[in-house]
Amino acid sequence: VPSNFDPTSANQHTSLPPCLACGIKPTLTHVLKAAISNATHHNPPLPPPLQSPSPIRPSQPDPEASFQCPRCTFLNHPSLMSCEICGAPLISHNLPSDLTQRINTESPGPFLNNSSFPNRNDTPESIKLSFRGGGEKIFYERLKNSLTQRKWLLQGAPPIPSSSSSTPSNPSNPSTTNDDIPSRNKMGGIAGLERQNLAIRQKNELVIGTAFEDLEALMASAKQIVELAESFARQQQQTKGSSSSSENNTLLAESVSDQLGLITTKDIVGNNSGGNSLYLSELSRTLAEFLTDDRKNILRKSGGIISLVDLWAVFNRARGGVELVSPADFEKAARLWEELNLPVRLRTFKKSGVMVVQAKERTDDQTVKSLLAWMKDLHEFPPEKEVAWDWRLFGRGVTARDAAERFGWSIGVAEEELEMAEERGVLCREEGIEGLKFWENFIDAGEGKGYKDAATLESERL
Amino acid sequence: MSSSPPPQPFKFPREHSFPPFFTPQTNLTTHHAQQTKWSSLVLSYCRHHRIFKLSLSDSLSQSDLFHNQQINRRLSPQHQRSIIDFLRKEGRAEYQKENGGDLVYIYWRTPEEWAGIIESWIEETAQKGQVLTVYELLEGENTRGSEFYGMDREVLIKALNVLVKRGKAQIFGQEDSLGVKFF
Repeated sequence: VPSNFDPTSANQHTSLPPCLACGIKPTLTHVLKAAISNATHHNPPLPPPLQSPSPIRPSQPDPEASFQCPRCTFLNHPSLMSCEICGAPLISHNLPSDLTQRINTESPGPFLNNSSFPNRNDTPESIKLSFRGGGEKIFYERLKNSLTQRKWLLQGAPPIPSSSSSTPSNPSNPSTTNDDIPSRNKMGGIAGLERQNLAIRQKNELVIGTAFEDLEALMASAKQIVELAESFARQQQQTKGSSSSSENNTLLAESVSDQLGLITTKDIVGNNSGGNSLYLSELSRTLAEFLTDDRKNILRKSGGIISLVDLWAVFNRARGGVELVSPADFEKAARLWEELNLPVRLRTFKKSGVMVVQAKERTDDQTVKSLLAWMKDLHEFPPEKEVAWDWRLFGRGVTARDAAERFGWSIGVAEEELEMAEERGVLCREEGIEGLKFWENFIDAGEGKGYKDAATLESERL
Repeated sequence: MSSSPPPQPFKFPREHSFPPFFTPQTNLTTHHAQQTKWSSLVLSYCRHHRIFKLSLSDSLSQSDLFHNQQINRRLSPQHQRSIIDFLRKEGRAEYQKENGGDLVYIYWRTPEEWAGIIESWIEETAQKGQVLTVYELLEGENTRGSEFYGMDREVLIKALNVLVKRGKAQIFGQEDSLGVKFF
């Protein structure tokens, strides 16, 4: 270790590494030492309270320097254009006015001037501290203490720059990254290359790990909040013991999820049953909103009634391929409409089990009424083809296709609605070569209560 | 009532020209109404034409009962049979056993009703204690103008058997020359 081993006067250079104090090039061992201590400490550079740029082109200090730097009082060689220590311009005879003012207002201490090192990035790779009036020993002690105590960790240090690995702990022996790597390569050849790869891989793992730790932390906190809300609700339930507590439960849970802004994301609330019901109820609301949205007008476009399968397709399409809803969840959510008192309802056709969605105020009675009105119209307007029966009396039969065209339903829905009307005895069917047709019910118009009466009447008459 | 078939054609009910009337209805209420209407149509049709027996295999082609040519609709054989079954449950039809169920009696008047009619005719004409042959009842000069004149022989015998059971008559004789004594 050289005698001028002093961290206070440490500097490092990206270019040539001769020692500033003695002008001797440091030996390889020094560089290695610097690298090793750097690796073992793995310390970030101190958040620099005092930074002064290093000179662009370092040179041997001249003992006969006659030009004093106006900023750091370093005696520079007269031929130099800028200060060797702080890089301040050394145009003393006609200083710019702003520079003189700054010098006057500030103490002659080092300060950071980014513009003075054009070759560097914003993050300085080295710190050079110069002491002119003594005190370097105390500073060195303090610096050593804080390095061992790692006080910067307590103050929320800035993140470690990746260039920190090149920071030497051997201040009097400046080293560079350019020197580091070749030295390592010299150490091991292929082994060195492997070690390099290993280091890169480890670094990648570290980056990935921390990134996913963040995500997991977010998820965990969301789960915790949901659980917290549920526990609050449970407590209320225990204290009150009333039926309204379940409402509180859902309300609270909903408010939490609302604030999180994660309404219909299933992953957030997890797979526990409470979270799942929350997800479903939110999905149910979203669906109802989607259906009743005036701009989209989904219900009216499909004649006020849409099959659940069609709706599922439309809904997932509208989501643009992300956050798709599974059919099972979709059905469960749709079943919640009634419970949540939403303005749409799920209806299951008895015969086929087909599930459709329609507005709540739309009832079977209305459907039957509109069907009948249509049938009545058919008494007025002559059919397209010549028909054998008295169309003024009976109208004509309609297929599910006709009804679908007339009301804008899908064919399946039209079939179901017609059969519903038939189930109610409003319509009757005719199966023929043209397919299934539905007619106004003239078979059972109330007068055919039973031929028994008619037969007994006749036999009595005899 | 006259003994000869009325000259005017049978007037079908309006349902007979209603196309769905020829399709079995799935709605139970409507189906029942349909069966009822068909039944009464069959009975009144048979009464009108004094048909006592229907052949299920022939009736499709023969009669305009199950086939409305005007609207080109016909009742399927299965549906016909279901209507006959419906009638049978009401006691208004009976399969003839010998012919494998193809022939069916249509009782627009049941044997009991016929028995009542014959009995009242016997009383009106004061023939109690008299002996009459079946041929006399069906084709005789005396019965001309009565309800049962020219009726189906088998149905008449069924009706007479009802009277025998009631103790109002007695049947004797051979197959071709059956005699009946009324009490």
